[in-house]
Amino acid sequence: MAFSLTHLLYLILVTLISFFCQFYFFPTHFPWLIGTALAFALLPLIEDFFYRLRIMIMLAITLLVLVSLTLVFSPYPLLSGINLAIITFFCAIKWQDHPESFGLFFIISFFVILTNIQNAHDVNLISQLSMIALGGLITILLQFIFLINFVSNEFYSLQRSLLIALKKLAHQLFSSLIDQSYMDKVYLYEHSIHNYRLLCNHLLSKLDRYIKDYEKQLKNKSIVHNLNCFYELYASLLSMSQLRNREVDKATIVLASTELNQFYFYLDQYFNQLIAKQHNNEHLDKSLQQIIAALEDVYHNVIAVAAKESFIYILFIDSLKSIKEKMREITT
Amino acid sequence: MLSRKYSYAFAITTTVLLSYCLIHFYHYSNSGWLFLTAFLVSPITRGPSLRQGLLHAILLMLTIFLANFLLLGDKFIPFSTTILAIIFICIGYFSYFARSHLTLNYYAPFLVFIVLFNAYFDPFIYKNFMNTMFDVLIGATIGIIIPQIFLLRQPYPNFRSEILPYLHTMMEIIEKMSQPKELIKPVTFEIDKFKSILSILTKESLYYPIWVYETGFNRAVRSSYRYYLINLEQLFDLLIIFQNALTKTKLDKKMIAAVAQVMQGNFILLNHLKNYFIDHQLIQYNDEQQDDIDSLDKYVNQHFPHDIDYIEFDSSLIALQQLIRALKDFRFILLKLYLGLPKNV
Repeated sequence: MAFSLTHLLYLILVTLISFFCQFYFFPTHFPWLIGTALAFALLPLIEDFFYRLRIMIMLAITLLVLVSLTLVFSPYPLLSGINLAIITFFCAIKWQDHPESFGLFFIISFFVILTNIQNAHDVNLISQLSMIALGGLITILLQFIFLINFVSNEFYSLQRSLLIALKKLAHQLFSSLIDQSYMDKVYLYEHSIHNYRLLCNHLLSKLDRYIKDYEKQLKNKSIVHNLNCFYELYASLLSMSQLRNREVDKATIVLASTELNQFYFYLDQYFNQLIAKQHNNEHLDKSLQQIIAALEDVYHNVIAVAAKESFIYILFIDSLKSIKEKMREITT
Repeated sequence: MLSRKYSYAFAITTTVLLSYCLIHFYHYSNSGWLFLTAFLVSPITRGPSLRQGLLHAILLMLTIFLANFLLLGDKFIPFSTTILAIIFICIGYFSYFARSHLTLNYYAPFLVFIVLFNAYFDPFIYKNFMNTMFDVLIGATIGIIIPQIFLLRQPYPNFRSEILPYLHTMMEIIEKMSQPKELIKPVTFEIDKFKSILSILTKESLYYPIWVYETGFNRAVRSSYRYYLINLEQLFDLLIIFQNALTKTKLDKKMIAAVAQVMQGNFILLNHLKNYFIDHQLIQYNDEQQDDIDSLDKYVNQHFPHDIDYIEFDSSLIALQQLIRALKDFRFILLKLYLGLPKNV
């Protein structure tokens, strides 16, 4: 993700204003104002500002209602316990159902628990509610000033994240082919591949959704073409990695290990260049082309004779060609 | 048997309720650390609850220890306020920076901030450090032990309930793919379909039994569960490869019929697999059901060149071979999974 001065400024202002308001208006109270402002600022940034605004207002209202209820029940331990159990249970179910909304439900249950803890001290209902409302209001106002156009930079950030994720996935997939320890630690490698594959799936789907929702706001339309290239690059990486399952005799893969290592080396550099927005990558393209040619030689001279099922290497080389081709298309 | 989701909810609710009852009768620090610790340590993310609870408890205690030095109380308010503000800005910026892949696994930094925040406004922590730590220890014990009663006592039912939606999704995708009219759509449509497969996979991944991979999971059964998961993911990879190959080649009518037949066979086998996880019925699978693969092979051998040197230069032919190979591998893995299932569960 790219560095964002706006976001840093937004966070600094949320902190400064909430601390100032808390110490100026409610110096002797538990810092509900700071807590609410900071909790709201940590919520995931939904692209659509007005949707984000609705969610924050709903969260603020829910907090006000539940905190009031908790304070009303506080003299009666039984009622208070039931209230606590219902809220915790509901929130736990919800954050299991929607892990992306974990923050929202965690904040609700956390605030209710904090209110219960504060019962031991003297608590003023009105001041507590005003602090929560003011804390929420500070964050909402600052989001309105700083993050109303949050989505416009999001395409490039997402594209960069996707490149990083694909680079890491490529690293794991090539490691599973090249590393001798793969057979001994197959679950470790596969777990890692699973995590990066999931990340790529997630980012690809998110980028696709963004483009569908905000296509009109896009100044540079090449991102739409790039998305298709990303999909195909991802599929080609997966296709290339099938060799680890198709080849029973791992010693045959070792015959091409020098070329595979070189291919991965240049592919990694290619990813680094794209991440750094360097588009003059002809030398890398040529290097990859030369390695593919060398790999074809190894195939014709050695693997075609040595391998039990030589055809899978044709498919493998084709996937490598496809990877190279997609990298070039993304560059241009 | 409760589903994993409800087991989690019960575990967290019981932990919170028990600690709530306890602080009414017994606590040292007089500031609710017992209650708060129990809630923060109880299972928030997925995975083995014992290991995760222990890690969270250690992190929480280290943070309180740190807070005791950093947030030095009334005399140094400007210093401790600045430190707290800086830590918040760092964590806030981290959550922004990692927003595209922020999952529940990133709970730890937020836990550190919550503890520091509470410690900053707790007037007793630096005066009453040992008592606070004692409360934290009791809270952590509750937060770690209670979930053990509810979670992962029987991994198989959990595994089964989480694997079934996956099989169901895969069946839906294959059912669509196996219709001949779906195989002759233009290339742009194939890319859209490819996107929709990934989108479905991303949604389903929320219920993926990731705890099977984590260290600390039952050593006796983990290798078989992991083997199963790896192969299942392999099936999804093959679907993606198949769909990608479809975008690069055009199939004639007979080829479409042959591919659709193989897809139907895969669908039936997947259905057997799904039924096994529902009622543990193993249906006899005989060699005749492999006829579809043989007829696909026969058709390809008769109508397309199989000289490797020729295929190498024709990208459409290679894409076709990628497609056929993905289909065959799919069947092979399905058979491996189905025939390897135990008869008595």
